[in-house]
Amino acid sequence: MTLQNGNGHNGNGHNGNGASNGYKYVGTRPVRPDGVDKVTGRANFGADISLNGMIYGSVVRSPHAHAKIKKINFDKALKLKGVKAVISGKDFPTLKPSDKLPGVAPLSFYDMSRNVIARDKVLYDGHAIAAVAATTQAIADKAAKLIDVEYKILKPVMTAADAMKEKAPVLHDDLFTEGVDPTPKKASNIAKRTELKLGDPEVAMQSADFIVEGDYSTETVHQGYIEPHACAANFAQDGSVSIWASSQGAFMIRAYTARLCGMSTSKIKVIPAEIGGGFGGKTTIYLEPLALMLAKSSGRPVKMTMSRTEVMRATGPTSGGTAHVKIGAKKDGTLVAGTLELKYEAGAFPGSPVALGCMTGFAPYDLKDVACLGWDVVVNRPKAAAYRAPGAPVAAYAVESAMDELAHKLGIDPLTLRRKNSAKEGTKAVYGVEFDRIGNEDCLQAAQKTKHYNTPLGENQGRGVASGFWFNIGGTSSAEVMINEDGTVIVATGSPDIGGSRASMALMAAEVLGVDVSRIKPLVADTESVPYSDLTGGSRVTFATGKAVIDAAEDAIKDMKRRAAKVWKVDFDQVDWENGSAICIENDEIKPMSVADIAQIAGKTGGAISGKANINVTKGAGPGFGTHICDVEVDPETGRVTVLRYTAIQDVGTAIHPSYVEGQLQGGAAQGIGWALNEEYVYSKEGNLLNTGFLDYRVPVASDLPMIDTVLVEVPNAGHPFGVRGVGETPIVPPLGAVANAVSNAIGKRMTSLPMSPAKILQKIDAG
Amino acid sequence: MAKVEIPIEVARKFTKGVTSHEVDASDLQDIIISLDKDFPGIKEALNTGLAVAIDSSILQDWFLEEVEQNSKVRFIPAIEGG
Repeated sequence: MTLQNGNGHNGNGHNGNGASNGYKYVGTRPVRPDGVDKVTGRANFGADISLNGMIYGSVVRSPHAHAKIKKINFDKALKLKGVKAVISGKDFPTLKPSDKLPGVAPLSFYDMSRNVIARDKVLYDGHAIAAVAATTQAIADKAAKLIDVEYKILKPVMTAADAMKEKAPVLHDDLFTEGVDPTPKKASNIAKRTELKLGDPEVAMQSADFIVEGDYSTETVHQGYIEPHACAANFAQDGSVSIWASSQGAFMIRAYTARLCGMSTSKIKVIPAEIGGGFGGKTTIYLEPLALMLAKSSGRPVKMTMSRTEVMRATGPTSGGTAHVKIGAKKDGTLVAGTLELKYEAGAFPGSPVALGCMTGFAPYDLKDVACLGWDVVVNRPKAAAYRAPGAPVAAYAVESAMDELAHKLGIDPLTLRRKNSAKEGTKAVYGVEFDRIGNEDCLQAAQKTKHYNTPLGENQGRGVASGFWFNIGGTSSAEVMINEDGTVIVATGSPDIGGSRASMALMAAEVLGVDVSRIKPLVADTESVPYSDLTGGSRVTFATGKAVIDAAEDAIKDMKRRAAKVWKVDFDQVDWENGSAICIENDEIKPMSVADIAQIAGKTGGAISGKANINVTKGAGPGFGTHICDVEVDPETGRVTVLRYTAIQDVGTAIHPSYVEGQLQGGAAQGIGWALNEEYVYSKEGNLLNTGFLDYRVPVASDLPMIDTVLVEVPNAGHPFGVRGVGETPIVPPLGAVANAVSNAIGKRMTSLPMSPAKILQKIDAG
Repeated sequence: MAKVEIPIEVARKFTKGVTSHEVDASDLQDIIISLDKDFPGIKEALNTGLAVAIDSSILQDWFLEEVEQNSKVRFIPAIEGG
């Protein structure tokens, strides 16, 4: 279902007459350009690459969660026939703590390098220690087992609560808590303290008639992308390197790999493969530097592919964490104050998304007095990586649970309570920024009107609702629009397509050019074929790369108008562009020239035709708000939860390709349901991960879920020519709270710990 | 004068806890330079890991953006995404 709450989003002249929103192509649902290759098995993913003379890599991983590496002995492995190269941390440049990515994001190459391959210490079960390349995968795997590593085993620390204790084993003796003054002189596992505050919540809380307060906890969960990490690297005689890889950013791989291997970025070319899911987990590197160094050492191209076990043990999950939330309200439901304290497990190196949790938890609400405190804590688990709306779901789970509890206490419908306090245009978020026009209230209103919300429940059934917020971002994007000789169009960008963005790029180009979308071929180019683009993440591609495509298409139109003016012997300003053709403004006897007409004579009017745009979209990314409704049935004898019905409502701005927008909402909901009900990293006492496959790390499969219904609320973003808002991350923010509230309402007791396994639910029921 | 808000942690370290400041500047670089004159060392802290919001626009990658006389400028945690 789509609701258009527009305020004139045909703003810049890209009007059409084909779709219900006033556009001709934007808002339609053509088959995705990459679809046929993917469903017929022709698409090439990371592991599909095959190169002449290629050999295979294997990684030696730590069996210990916390240990010192005393010695690595390669002798036995090197004697194995077929082994061509071995490497360890000693083969990589030594970086310093000050080696960081310049710019806003404080990305530490020092930590990244030690995460990709351990130096003196292993910090989690599965931490890479060494790698070997051999003529077959079987030989490489066998050789890896022959590499002897001598350890001094240390006591692991697995949770934030334990890691923050005074006498906890310390992971890094050079880690001193940031954000406190004075900076401590004693190293600890607390990497950073973040505090945000508006007004005076302590004083305001005193005016509350009702206060709800509670502690909530979640576990480490993995993004669960289907395609394991894979890459191949070739080191040429001239010292240049080619890397084929599946990732969310070819330029990201180039920059990070170059830095970790001590090379110039200009020496590395990255060719993006198709990507089988990322969700934020492929915004960093693991195998690429290893493959590069093995290729350099062996003189042969090296392919490396992770097993599922390796993915689970050694690639970025998202943080587990705890939350303490407190909300005060007047009798009529007006919120007067809120506080939130979050402790997130960063994994083995600093950098959990706790600050983002602090910024987002209360964002759906208009609170003048609010404070959030966050702690970033290192533990002996894999380094957390981004996962859709990093940090927001855990914070939202706590706040939305408290809101549900408050609604019960006050005897107010939970959506009505949310509407009464909803953030609107002009509301100041806890991080101090006032929202422009947003669709939060529109989503709540739409949710309240759904048939779903107004359907009665049966015995042992419960309904939960929750809201969620995500910022969405812009960033640097490049695009080139190339007109072929037959008038068809190629749209090249540097943004890997992880969610149907090629279709969106084609639709936006079609709308601007006035060319049928079937005549437009969008492609994802390598790092030497398009200028730099930021990685695909932060819900930025349809927004920012889309802007670049629009600009590039307009640039191509300018070129085509110039060609028409030349043919017609009129001034450039006598030529306009309408419905895919150049028209002569003052002489309607001159027959318009279509893109195909102009392309046909391109050689005679100046050569090939193209348009380019290289932009950094620093502002204008419209925030996303969503509301989810979940119905569950709980079997009181077994604790099993069945999700009966689920509806995701979201302000998506203008939906460029509504099917893929709906897909984003459905995917986010499905992942969030898994997070709420099933998924968790289970460790032994020694810190070894016990559930490293999809049989015992249970993501929801199709038979576990009902159809996820969607309602697209289209409040156009004034910061984009077509009104685009990012949509990929917001939908994972509400599900944890929505499902928890549904289960809590079904059993009549508040569920405060995820995942809500049958055992936990039974324990809660039995607690009386 | 632009109204500038700095994070609590930065304020605690450099400005004796004062988070709100009025700065006479025409762009973000001027704001940083001006604050650093008053609070030596704050420049590096504000240039690391922080995005900037000028009124309601959040700038992830900021440098020389202009600010109006009455603009509200806030240094906030950088936003990353999945």
